[in-house]
Parts: sequence; structure tokens; C-alpha cells
Amino acid sequence: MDEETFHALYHATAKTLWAYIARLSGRPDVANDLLQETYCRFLTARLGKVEMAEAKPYLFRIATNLLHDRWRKGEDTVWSEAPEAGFERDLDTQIDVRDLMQQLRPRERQLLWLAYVEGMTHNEIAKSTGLQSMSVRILLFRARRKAAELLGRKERAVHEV
Amino acid sequence: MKCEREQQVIKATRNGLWASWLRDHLRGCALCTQTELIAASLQEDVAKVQRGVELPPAGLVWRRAQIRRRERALQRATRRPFLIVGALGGVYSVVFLLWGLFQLPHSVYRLFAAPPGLTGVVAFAGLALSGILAIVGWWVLVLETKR
Repeated sequence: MDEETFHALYHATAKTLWAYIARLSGRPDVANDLLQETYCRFLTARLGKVEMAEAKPYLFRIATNLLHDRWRKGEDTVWSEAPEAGFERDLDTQIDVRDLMQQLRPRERQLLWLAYVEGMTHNEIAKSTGLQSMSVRILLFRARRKAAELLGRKERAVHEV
Repeated sequence: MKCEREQQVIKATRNGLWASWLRDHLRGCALCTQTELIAASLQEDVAKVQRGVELPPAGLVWRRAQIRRRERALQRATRRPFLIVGALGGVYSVVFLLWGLFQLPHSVYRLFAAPPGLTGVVAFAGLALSGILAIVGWWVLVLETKR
């Protein structure tokens, strides 16, 4: 991959990848480091001609592995993001996704993000996480139920006020 | 529980293009309503998160990767002679061990009549030590290769 192609790829993917890492780890300060590490590993890996479409899931896979390494070491298991770290409350719905993420397990956050933000299919999620496709289906179903319950509870609380 | 329209609901939430039939479906499907609620909340959040982000420059990341690539190439180049020597040492140990095994009955016989203090047990211990060294050598070699 030449530098120009990399720049194009970086501009197309870096923001979403950063958001993914920041939301999953709950550490925007760590996100920059992991982001750089992800691209470094991507560039130093011995890959064939990687098309843009294939590069994105691969980048998510690397980032996911880096996050797993941190979780295995016991890092980022507790949400430590400060409320003022660039995330404002949604004034219309008062649904604070930060609160939601805080109450979910890392795996649940990851599956929800890949499915609902990146729009990945179960098979693509399986490739990005290393899980079996059937496990993705079950875990995602549980995560979705939990998230919907939490969001619904918040909405009801807002309407009552 | 799964709805086949789920992916379309996610896609519509992402690009904001809702077909009227999909809207109608959404009203009647509890699963898709859940999906829409989560997807919309998360995507709204992503937009907010991305707005305030200051990413490291692409050029910096590129240069870092190039430096790392060069370091790795250098590491590989310097490791190669050691690997060759290690491999030759390993092969030599195995050949020597096999030769020793074939010679064992004869050596034991000769050692019985040879210098005092050198018994068959000592010869056997020496042979065992050589075997251990050969195995350890191979193990180190395998570890080095994996690194």
C-alpha cells in the first residue's frame, strides 16, 4: 500500500474506528494510542493487495484484538470516561448513550456497536470478533434486549418528569 | 427471535432513507422497534463523538509504521545467521546422539576394559546428557523461530 492510498483509507475509517475504541474502552485517552497501534499493525502485516472494503473489517479485527488484550490484563473493564470528555447529553431525548454503555459488559458494547453502528451482519461480526456466528446471534440478542430495556427505562423516566 | 427486516431497519437508520413499507413494518414489529431505538441512539452518539475528535495525523501514523517495518526487517536479518548456526548445531546433536546410540553396546564393552572410573553407567549418563542438550537446543531453536 502506498502512502496516498493509506491517507485515503485513514481519512475514510479513522473516525469511526476511534469512536469504536473510545466507546468500548470508555477511555478516550487510550483511543488515540490504540488507533495508531491498529494502523501500524495493519501496515506492517504482510497483506496482499487489500481493497478498501476488506480493509475496514480487518482494521476492526485488529482494534478488537488490542481491546481484548487490555481486557485480559484487567484494563478498561470499569468505565472511566469523564462526563465532560467531549460527550454532551442529548437534549431532545435525554438518552445518554454513555450511561448505557457504562451499564453494558465490554462484549455487549462491542456487538451492539458492530451491528448497529457499523451495520455488520452476523458473519462479519463473527470475523471481526473471532466468535462463532451462532454465538454472535445469541449474544447480540441478549445485548439488544438489555440495551432496549435500559433505553426504554430512561425514556419512561424522561416522560414521567 | 429474529426479524428478516432488521438489517434493512439498521441500514435505513444509518442513511435516513425510510421506505414507507418499512415504516409500516416498524410500527407492527416489536423487534425492529427495539433495533431502531438502539441503532438511532448509538448513531446519534457516534456523530457527536466524532465531532470533537482530534485524530493523530495520517502522515505520523504512516511514518511510525515505516520505522517499525524497518526495525523488523533489521531484526529478521540479524537473526538469520543465529538461526542457521542453531539449526546446524541441532542437526549435529541429533546425528551425534544417533551415532552414540548405535555405538552404545560396543562402547560399553570397551569402557568396561578401559580406564578405571569410567563405567558403562558414566558412558550412558554422558549419552543421556547429550540427548538432553540436543532436545534443549531444538527447543530454543523453535522458540527463536516463533519470535
